[in-house]
Amino acid sequence: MDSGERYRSGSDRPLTGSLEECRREFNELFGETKDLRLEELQIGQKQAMLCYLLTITDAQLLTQRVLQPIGQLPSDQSVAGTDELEMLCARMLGGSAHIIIQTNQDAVQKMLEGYSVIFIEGVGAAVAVFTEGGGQRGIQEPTTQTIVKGPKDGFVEDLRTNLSLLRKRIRNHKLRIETFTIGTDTGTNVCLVYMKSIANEGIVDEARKRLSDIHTNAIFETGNIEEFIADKTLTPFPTVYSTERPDAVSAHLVSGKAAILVDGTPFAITLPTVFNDFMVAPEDYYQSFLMGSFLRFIRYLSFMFALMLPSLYVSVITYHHELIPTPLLISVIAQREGVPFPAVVEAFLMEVTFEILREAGVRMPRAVGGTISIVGGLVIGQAAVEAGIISNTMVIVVALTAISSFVAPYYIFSISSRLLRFGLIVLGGVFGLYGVFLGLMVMVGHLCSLRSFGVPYLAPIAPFILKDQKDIFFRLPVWASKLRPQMLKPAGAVKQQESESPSPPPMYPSEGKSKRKGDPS
Amino acid sequence: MSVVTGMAIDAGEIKKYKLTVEVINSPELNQKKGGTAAPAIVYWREGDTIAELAQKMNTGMTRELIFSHMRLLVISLDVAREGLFDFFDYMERSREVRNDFEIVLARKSSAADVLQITYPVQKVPSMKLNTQMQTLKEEWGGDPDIRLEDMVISLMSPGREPIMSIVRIRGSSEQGKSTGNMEKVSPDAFVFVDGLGVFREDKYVGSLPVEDIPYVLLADNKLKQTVISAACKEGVKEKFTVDLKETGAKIKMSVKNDIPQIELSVEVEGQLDGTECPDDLSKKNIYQSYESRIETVLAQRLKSVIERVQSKYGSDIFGFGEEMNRQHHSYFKKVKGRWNVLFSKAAVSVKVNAKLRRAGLVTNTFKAVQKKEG
Amino acid sequence: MTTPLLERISIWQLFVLVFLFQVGSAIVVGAGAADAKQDLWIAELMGCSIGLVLVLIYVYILRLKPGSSLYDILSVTFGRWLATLFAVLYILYFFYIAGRVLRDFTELLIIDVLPETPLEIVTLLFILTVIYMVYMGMEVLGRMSETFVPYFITFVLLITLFLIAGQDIKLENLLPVLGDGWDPVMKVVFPELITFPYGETVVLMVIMAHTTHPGYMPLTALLATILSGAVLSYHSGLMVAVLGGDMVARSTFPLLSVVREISIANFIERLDALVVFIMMVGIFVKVSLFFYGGLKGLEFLTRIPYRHFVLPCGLMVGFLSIIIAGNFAEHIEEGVEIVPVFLHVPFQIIIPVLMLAVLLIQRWRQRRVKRHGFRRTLQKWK
Repeated sequence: MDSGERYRSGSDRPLTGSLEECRREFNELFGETKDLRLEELQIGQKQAMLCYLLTITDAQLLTQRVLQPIGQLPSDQSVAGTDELEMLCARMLGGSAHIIIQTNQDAVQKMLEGYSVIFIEGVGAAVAVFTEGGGQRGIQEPTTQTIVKGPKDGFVEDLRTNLSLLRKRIRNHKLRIETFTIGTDTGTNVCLVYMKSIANEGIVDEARKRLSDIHTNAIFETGNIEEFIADKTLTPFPTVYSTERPDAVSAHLVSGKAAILVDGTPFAITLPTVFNDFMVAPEDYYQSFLMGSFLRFIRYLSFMFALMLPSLYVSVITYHHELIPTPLLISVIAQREGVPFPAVVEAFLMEVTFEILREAGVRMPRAVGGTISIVGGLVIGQAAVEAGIISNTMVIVVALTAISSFVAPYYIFSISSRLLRFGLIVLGGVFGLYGVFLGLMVMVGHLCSLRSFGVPYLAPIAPFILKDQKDIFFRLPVWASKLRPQMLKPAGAVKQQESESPSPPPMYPSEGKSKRKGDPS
Repeated sequence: MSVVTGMAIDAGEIKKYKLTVEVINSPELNQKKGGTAAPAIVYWREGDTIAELAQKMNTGMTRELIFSHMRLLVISLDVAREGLFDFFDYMERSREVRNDFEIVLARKSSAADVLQITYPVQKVPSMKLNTQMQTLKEEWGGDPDIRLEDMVISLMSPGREPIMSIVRIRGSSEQGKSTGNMEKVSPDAFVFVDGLGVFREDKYVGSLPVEDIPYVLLADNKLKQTVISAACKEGVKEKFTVDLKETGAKIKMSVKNDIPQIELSVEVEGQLDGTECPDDLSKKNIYQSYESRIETVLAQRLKSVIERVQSKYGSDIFGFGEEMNRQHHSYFKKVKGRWNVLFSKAAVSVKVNAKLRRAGLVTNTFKAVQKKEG
Repeated sequence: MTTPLLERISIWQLFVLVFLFQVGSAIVVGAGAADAKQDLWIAELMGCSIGLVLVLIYVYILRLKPGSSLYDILSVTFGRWLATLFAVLYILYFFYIAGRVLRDFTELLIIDVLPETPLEIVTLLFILTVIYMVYMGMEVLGRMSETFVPYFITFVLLITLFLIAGQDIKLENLLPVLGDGWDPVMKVVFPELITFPYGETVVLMVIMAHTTHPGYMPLTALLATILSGAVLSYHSGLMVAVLGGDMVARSTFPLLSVVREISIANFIERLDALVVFIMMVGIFVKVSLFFYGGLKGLEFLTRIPYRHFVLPCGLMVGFLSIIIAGNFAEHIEEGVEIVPVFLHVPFQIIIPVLMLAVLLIQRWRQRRVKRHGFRRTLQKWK
């Protein structure tokens, strides 16, 4: 099913059946591009022309699917009209993906998508056979979201491979894939994937609508889509979840979310997304729920650290010394003795330095990456302290903040804490804890006002949904959660009816117990 | 900023008060950088109100002073005799001054001197004294643990009068002020606890010896733990010592012929620390006899302390008036103006119930065994 | 965006809002301590039980006209002109109280935490945050309080825990119970403790009508009131047990004085600054709700979405909170002596009771007309 803004070229006249005309038109459209192949063939009695783009066609597929079947045709095969062409195709190309096309425009479109198109003299239709090939990366372990235990495959740049990864995980007829072609210049294939009768229809409709409403020239990455479909862009918090892990996408799909995959990028996005999604790593579900819950706690804690630690330090040191126990205060003061800057400047300096280091570390060619840690850690950190420019405590604070910001299982999410941190440092330096807490309130207010495809961003904390709490701050054992997340208002709410703790039944089962387990008798 | 850890209030020579503050020399306390320089710096100035003086300290000191980490307030006896109201209001009102520092009186030296006697382990004098008082309270019950808030409450309440520990300097206070004092095994000067100051209203009226402090606390049900020694039997010289771990006091107040009746019933529990008598401590009846000895001695001492305070100072430092207020509110309301007079006339009866629970790692003393074999 | 949108809050959000609203500033200010002393907790309980009646009146009025808010009901009961007058008065009242509550907090902040910062700056920062949140709407405010309420409750519980651990609680301080009889207690119960905070719940009539499950609204409001009564009473008892009645009576902010007592192992201590900021949540909700109540009134009068008024009115409330009193004593004196009698009683008790009376009469008449009409038709039938 095709819909949405599509790349349009060539005339939308129906095909006339004149090979000459086709050839002329193609040469005109594509110019003298080197990879355009227009090859003469003989099908039965008729002249035919095979058109494809060499660069995105797999020669082996072409031979298997097109050339061999044609070669096996009896030489008296007649192809007179469209009906006959369809019958012929059904016999000749049965089983391989092919489409009968009526217009020149479709033919061009199909060629761009990697099809080979066969025109037959005198027939007002053509047949396109899927023969896409071309360079692609093999499936590898995801680089941005690594885990210790669990599936190691990651999405690649090829859309079909990615979809196959999903299909293989969810072997269910309810998995629906809708494609859109977006980008007037790039004509990129974009897929909307969801589980029919699990995902909320309204959300899927909304996603469909927003995808169809995108009018742009180029889509290279899900990030481009993201900005078009997100509810609000003036926010440091991501409102869609993008991942390169097929297991994460599959888990989201079966919990009632929709996913969007874009050809040419290994990142898929899922929606709607709530704050808590960014505190969840797929691995939480692959190891003991106790560990999973503990890690959740650690992640929330480190988010807080990454966000607030420097500003709290600055405001306490500058305004609220009484909050620090005496021995600690004495040692902090002793260290700060001789530091030429006020705490807020010190914090700013170190944070900016750290951000520069981090950016350099990310962008640097891998070969020189090690230099960064030496220069950054040793030279700047130690030397600055030795020189008395920065106090030791500040280095500890900044280091803890930095490490905390890396804990987020989802890299992009730490952007929010990185950005807001600076604002909070300023507030803390100017107004003390009062400023920091007001800043936090505004932040929480902002979070409360965010929505992702109609789902409040802080759900299920605010608005509070009791039934969803089993997988937010804690992860309860899998058997304990019978329902899909209610905040997504899924069409099918129940995910496992007969789930019970696997612990052995009591030695002398009492009547009450057996009744509680829902025995109908 | 500079952290103020101690404050001392003396009577001024020209003006009313002389305020001395002690701020720490923080780099000196840094474990890495610390050397042998002075751990704290002391500066004084005279003035008429403490509140004003506290703000004026920068006439001699460089940084902004913060009072939130004050550990010790020393008041000289001269000032205490004049009254405390004047500066306690400032302390209570100030947001910086907290409620967690020790308040002590300085005897036989100026309060400022107490702030300057160094000590090898906890170099800052006020920190040393703070820790010392805390430990003393925990280990022996020798410090009433009076905080600002307690002072204010007892100054305000008609049924209670303030008390305060008294400290004294042993040795030469001049030599004690140098860092050299920290380098000696036997420091030239020591600050030690020397008694309990008794107040009436806000004025110092006299003192009790340090030995009485646990009993004062016990009568007020504030004692944590103390040690008591008693003769093994009536009229014997040998003594045994018991560590009282659990203590509790109940006070029952009543009035007879306009004379308050104070019935103090005390319960203590403890373990034997040591004995000089050849008693067989594996026998139940020895325990019982020890218990009854403790009961007698403790009751006697409690009674004597209370009676001494009644006759000598006529000042209800035990808070019996508060108890009276709780138990006989309407009566106390009538007499609260002359409570101290009534208190000094009150009849006191003390009942002690002691329990000796265990006697350490051995049963019999070696003395007992020796006697048996010999 | 231009049409006034009807925002609905969930029942749980309503519960949290009512709770934070009532506990918000009451827990900090310690009203009534000066007279009731060690019996403050009894006074709080009395205040709560009478306050409960007031809340009952409010929710009953709302139940009589389901779906309409305070202002709508005013116009139904008093006719157009009188309703407009009352609405204007209510708006002024709400804005004034918003300013008062804000001042309570800014004073607390300056006295205890930020002595160097000018009142104007503190007020401006706070009111800007309120403006932002109220601009976002009721739903956002509801969700925000939902997010913060666990922290609020945790800290309130932690105070008790720390006090127990530090052995600061002396239950004998609560004695003698009612030593001076009921007089001092009753003196603070009416009007002070009834109107503050329970009577102030009148402003919630603006939002209470719009909940997701209107049927549960009355029960929710009453339960929240009971809970806040319990919390307030418990804390006044706690304050007395820690400090003694006289100290509580003298203290500007008793809860803060209590928290200053906490000292565990010389490490967990000096928590009062932190507590101030936790209490900020309650104050924030209270100011926002009063402010929102006034704004909704403006929306009712002008038929212009309230968001247009948020910024100017917000700054006005901030300004008001600064000029309201020249010094702290004046502020407290007004709050204790003038406001309860001349503002709280008419707006919280007299007008609502009038409203209820009019509504009941109207209903009775309607019923009579109905019955009457029925009889008439019967007669015609014959």
